[in-house]
Amino acid sequence: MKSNELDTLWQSLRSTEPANQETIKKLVSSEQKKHRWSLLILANMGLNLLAFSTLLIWALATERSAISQAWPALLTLLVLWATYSEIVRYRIVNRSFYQESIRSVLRVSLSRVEGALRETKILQMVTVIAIIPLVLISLSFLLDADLMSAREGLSFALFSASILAINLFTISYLRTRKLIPKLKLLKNRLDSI
Amino acid sequence: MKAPEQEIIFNQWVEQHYPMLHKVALSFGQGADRDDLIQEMLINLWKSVPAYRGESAESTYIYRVVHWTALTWIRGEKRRTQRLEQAAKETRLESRRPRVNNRLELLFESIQNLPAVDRSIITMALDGLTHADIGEVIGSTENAISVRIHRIRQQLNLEIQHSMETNS
Repeated sequence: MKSNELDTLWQSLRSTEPANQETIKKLVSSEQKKHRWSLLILANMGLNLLAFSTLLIWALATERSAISQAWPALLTLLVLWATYSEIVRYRIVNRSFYQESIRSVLRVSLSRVEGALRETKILQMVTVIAIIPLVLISLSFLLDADLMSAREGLSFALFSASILAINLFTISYLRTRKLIPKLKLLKNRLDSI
Repeated sequence: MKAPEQEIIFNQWVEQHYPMLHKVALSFGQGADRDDLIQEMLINLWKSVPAYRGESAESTYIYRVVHWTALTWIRGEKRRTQRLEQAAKETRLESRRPRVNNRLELLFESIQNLPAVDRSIITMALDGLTHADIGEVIGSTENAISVRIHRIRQQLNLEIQHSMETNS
């Protein structure tokens, strides 16, 4: 087979069906809805954060609360603002996603997936090293101080165990079924460019 | 960008480039997977409309979105690997390839057997994109693309020739 026959063969596939207009309309409408919802959720989250931050600043400014009391709320708000700004930054960066070549976009995606894998690993470690022992310590403290009966203790332990198991399972599922295959695929693509 | 403006541009892009989407889907997926891939491409194309700033040619931009979607389409890749493993097993058992007589089908089957990036490069080359444009889309030099296209074409020719001889 001659090389230019490949082109002739390829060009012979001209009779492709046109795009189904009904499907296109549905797709456009569903994407528009998704976009509106995501903007609404983002705006709502921002307003809530703003309201809580204003409330905290007002409480501290009028000395209704002291830093020594309010530091956990302050810390939580800082973490939430950091998360919120990260989501907004992600949306802005995504806008210029396709301006770069596929190689550059693959590099960006790869570093994002690697970051997500690190975060899920940290979450797993925190759950195993910190949360499980803390739950056990709290449980033994409550039982020793007779603040909880053995039956209540067992229920508490079972409830905590099921929540932690669901958490660990979800994180493991995300890692093994989503992130690791994605990482392998991106590495493979990047290597083969 | 306002929604009606986005919709107009998107419809124009789909109308002009749908055959290209269809061919890429034929090169990357099988059966119902192809429809899923086209759907995925259309969604990414829709999302990418507001981001288009005219820095590169419109067609280069669309090729980038479409091929990026195909290259990172994980479900199709899993099925393709399974299919290749199954075919290899069957070949070992029966010592023959499934009979495909249509030359166009043979071409798409041969393209599907290529590594993913090669599939992208050859579909763009067969669509008539210049080596420089393909390099811009992929992120490689014009020379590297030229060498690669030459090798892929040779491989495809050999494979199609071999399949035709086996089937005749």
